[in-house]
Amino acid sequence: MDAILSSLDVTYFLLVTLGTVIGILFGAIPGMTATMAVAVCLPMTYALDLNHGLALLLGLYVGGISGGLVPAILINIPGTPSSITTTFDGYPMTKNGEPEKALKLGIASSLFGGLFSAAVLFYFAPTLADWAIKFSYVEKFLIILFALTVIASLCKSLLVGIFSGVLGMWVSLFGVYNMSTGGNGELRIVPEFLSPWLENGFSLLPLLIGLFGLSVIFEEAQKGVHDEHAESVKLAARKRFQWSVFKGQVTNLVRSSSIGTFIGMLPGVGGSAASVLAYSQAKNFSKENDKFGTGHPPGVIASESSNNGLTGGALIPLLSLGIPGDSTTAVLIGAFTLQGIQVGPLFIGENQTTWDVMMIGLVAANLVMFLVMWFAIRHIAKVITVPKYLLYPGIMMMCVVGAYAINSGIMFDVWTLLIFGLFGFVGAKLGLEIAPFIIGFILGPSAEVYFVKSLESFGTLSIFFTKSPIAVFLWVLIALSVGYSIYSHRKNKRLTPSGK
Amino acid sequence: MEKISDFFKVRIDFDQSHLFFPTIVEWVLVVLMLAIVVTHGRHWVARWRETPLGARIRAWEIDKRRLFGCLTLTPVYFAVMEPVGTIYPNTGVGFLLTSYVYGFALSWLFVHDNNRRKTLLMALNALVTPTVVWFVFAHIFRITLP
Repeated sequence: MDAILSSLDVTYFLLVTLGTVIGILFGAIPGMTATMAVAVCLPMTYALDLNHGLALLLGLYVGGISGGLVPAILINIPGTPSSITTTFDGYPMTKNGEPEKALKLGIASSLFGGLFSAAVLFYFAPTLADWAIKFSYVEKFLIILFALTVIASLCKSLLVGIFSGVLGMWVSLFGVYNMSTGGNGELRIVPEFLSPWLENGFSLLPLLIGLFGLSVIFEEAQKGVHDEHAESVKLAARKRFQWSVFKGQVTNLVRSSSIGTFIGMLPGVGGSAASVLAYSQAKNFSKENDKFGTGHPPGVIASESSNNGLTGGALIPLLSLGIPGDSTTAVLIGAFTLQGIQVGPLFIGENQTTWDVMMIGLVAANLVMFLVMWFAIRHIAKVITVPKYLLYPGIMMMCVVGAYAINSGIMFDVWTLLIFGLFGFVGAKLGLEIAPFIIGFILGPSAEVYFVKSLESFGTLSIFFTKSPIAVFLWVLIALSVGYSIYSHRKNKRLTPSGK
Repeated sequence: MEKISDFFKVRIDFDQSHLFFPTIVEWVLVVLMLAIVVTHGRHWVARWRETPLGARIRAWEIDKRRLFGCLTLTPVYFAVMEPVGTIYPNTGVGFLLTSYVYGFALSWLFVHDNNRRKTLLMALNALVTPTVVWFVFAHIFRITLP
């Protein structure tokens, strides 16, 4: 208890607040995401201990997801992909003269979704970790395989999704086969002349910052960096917010938050999938489903409670299995690695204080998000008007600082930033899927250890099918995720025979 | 029955173990690439015939000035940073000085309908942002910068 209290000092809560405010501002600017906020602000944690660093990052995560509702409601552009369905009813409410009502509805729903998912995380992650602790290398390898097939099954093309994941895995194998994990210390894949720079492969954080920072700026540059929404935003408030709008919406709130939390638990599945599913379910179950899309408050409630429900959900596989639930939590892995802590089944048991402090940080971030957005929404709305030609140079500089400082001053890490910034930009044009690529990159080294050590121990490939009932169960899950993908693609093809 | 179980047997030579998993991954990549070509190839060829490459590139809406300007400025910024930093080593001055120039150049590249007010804003931003970043990270957080 003393250890927890000593971490929860004033600085801790100031960092939660700072992170949440910066996150909200990032989320509120169209084109900038929660992932970008966490990636770009990561260097700020270099000088902090793990608990304080996590306070900042959790604030950024919650704020980044929540801030997306501001432009979605006010200018019909989702600030983050996860607030796409907020535009469906939020913007019509603005057009009907209810922008403040729509914003506050979204903020309150976000708070509910965030706290709901934090509660699920608190009760479910330790149970899952206790279960996963019993896993041998065989089951751990199959969990990674399952994670990759789940991510791939939700991509536009299953094959391209799996290809992207395996490509990420391949890139993660650059450099020496690490002796600390039982390797022989020999260099592979990397040509000899590049070995001074790539002996330990590509660093995770410059790669992530490149993919989520630089590539976004290149993408914007390609489109011409337009600030077409730079006109001032005014919150005309003909109709004020009243809590009575939530009357009869408890089921919608709980269902949407549950959907968000569940989708968050699936590795690599973004918030847009959560909000689309929650929105469509709210519409299907509603007696007034014809009102959806015309400024109907339950639509905003479903969308916002589900995308914030994602936050706690995505932390479940990260903290109990070591598998990131989405791209933002993939960046959080970088923060743990930086502090020399490995996330996985042993994390909660061995770092009880950090776990408790994280939970408090997550709840605090949601409360701060609510208070800041509720009382300062008029000021936050103005961030939409900040021109990108002033924002992007600063973001680029933060990216450089983050990459350069990660290994205490290696210039090659800055070039890694550029390499993966270009890769993210060109890869997206070629149809590569970035989320599976990142998950593959993060899990690649572990997959190698689990796979090779399993074979070294048992000497046969059949062990992956016969080791235990859990292994068989995991194969069933893998088959189901692949089967689901094939089924849904065929169904979509049938619905759009022209393929358009 | 004996032969089937033999088929699954694997022996990993420790001296060559660093290549075992990467080789499998490379083969999986090749197989997946072939599968993608087989399943999507016909669609690609049809699209290729339908719309020539030139027309498709034009449809991408590339702002050539801003994209290629950004793609040129950024590597130059990275390349110049360290040599400039060697003038005053371990102070982060390389980052600071090059960021002043890069910050202004990038803003100037990205801005639309430039005027005196915007130029002033860009200059101010190019001075203040790198200075704040440099001061916070190099002096308060004591983080190494080029």
